[in-house]
Amino acid sequence: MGTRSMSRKGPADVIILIVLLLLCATTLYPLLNLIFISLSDMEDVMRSGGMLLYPRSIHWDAYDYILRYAGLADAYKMTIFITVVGTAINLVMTTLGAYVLSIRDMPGRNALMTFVLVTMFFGGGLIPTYLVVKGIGLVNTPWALMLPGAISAWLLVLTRNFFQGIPKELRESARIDGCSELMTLIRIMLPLSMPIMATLALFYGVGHWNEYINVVIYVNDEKLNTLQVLLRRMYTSAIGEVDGDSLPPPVETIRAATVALTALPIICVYPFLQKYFVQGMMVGAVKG
Amino acid sequence: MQTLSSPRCTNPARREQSPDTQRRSARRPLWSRTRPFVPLYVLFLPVLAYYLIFWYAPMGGLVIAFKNYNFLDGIFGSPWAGLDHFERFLSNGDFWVVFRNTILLAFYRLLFGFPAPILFALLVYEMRFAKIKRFIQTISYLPHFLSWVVVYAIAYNFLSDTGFFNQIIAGLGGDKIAFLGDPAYFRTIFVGSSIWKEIGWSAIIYLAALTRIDSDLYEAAAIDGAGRWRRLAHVTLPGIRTIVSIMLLLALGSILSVSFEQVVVMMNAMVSPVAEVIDYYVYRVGLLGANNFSYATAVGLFRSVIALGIVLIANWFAKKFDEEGGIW
Repeated sequence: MGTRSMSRKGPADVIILIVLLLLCATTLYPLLNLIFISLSDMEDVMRSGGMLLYPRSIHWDAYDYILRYAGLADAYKMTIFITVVGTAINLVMTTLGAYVLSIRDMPGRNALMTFVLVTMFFGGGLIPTYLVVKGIGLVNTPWALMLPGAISAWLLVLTRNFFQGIPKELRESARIDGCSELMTLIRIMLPLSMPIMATLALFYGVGHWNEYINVVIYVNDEKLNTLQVLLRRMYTSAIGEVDGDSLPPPVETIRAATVALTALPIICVYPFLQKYFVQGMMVGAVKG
Repeated sequence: MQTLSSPRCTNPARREQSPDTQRRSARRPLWSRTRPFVPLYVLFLPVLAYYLIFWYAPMGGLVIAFKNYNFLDGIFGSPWAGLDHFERFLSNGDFWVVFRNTILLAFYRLLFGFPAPILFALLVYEMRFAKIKRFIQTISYLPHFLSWVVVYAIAYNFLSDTGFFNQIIAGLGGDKIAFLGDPAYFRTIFVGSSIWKEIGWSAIIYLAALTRIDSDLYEAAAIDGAGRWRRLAHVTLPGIRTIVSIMLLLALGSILSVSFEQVVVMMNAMVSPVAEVIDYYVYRVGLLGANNFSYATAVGLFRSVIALGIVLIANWFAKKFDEEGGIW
């Protein structure tokens, strides 16, 4: 933009900067505050009126306690399982659909595309979907958290648009060289599609890590709780037995520690994947 | 998705090269035209199966809205009920309460949640400290990736009995307020937390539109003596007019879909009179309580059909408004 060429910065620019930095603080501080609380003594927390600007002293009691809680270990196992396996299913299914629909001269392409897109605007809704999931025996299994959402039509379209941007001569020459369709997809298309694959892995992976609602709908078994379900439950009822005989630390710090253990993996991977997803979003925003 | 409607026109080069092939292929029987693509159709089979099982089978299952479904007789064997369920919920006071809750939450979300990311995008766009800009954007996307449960934990931390706000109130000598259990504050907290979570993420699309504005326009405006506000009013805002109208229509189109997950996370017995939306009502009468599958499906179907109608109307308006404006 032209205004960039004028390097002089006026008071208005400083005001904008301050407003934006304040907005950043409102985004970051609530998270940091919870992390500080998880590391603190409750007395320090109360003395500062609930607003710690830094942890006055470091205590690992809350982490020590919650990590000994068997329910947390189960929830971690479950969440990691559905994140790894669920994302793998998502990637395979979305890539297959997107690849086939990216081939422009395939007869029936429009019909298949419509078949997929209809689901963005209309569906059976909660109860009929529940009855189908129950009917095929997925209720109270981890598969109910992975299979019903195996493909997001929106991400499929995004991926298809990306594939369409790869010169079709590459695919055609691979086919002439005797590659099967599947080999062409794996050997030729995928190595060129890492940005979109990273975008898919991020969106689907975060979705699984944050899994809450499908557990509420489809699962009624303590063993299959995800981290989010466990964390939410800690705000309505006390957690069960914890190994060891020490006196439990204050509930506020336990909850805060669980928030940190739930959200930190996301906050840690996020900067690495960040450069891909905005790019990925934009591919999809352009009508293809 | 425009190419969908005109696949034959997408490849003019090929047609020019070999008009003969093209003409011949039109006359060739279906099988010989499709045969080279059989491996592709095979690759598509898992996707086809997925959509048939998890999307089209439930659409077929909607038929139970017109039946008295029970597990014993199954979807096909259960007796027909005609429009009984629809009559029942339309004459039921409960339904209109949740309908009103849904519309009100959506209205407040639209009123405050829609302009927020546009303002944020404009602020970021007008920011001239380039290095800090990237940092601010990175931070602003982060809450989008946090779960509603974590957002609830954050809200709880500030709003609970021992939270920051009540400490201030207590410090000033007032009575503590149970913010999360008070119907009077529910809508504010609901809309506020969704703005907190999505403001940066929703701004991406506007920022993309802003960066596409031709920089010559700004220079021309500057030469004409336009100050910052006039450049905003006459160059920047017209530059994002189309995308804003599309997003507004999309938002209007989704007016009946208040985030079910957010409602479930923030729900409790005290706030349920204002927090219960149509989706939650369907969940409660269908799955939580008496297993009124047919009645709940009827409510869900009613909602879906109205929502679809609104989307279609919104898209029709978008097209009227602007050639490029439609969603499809």
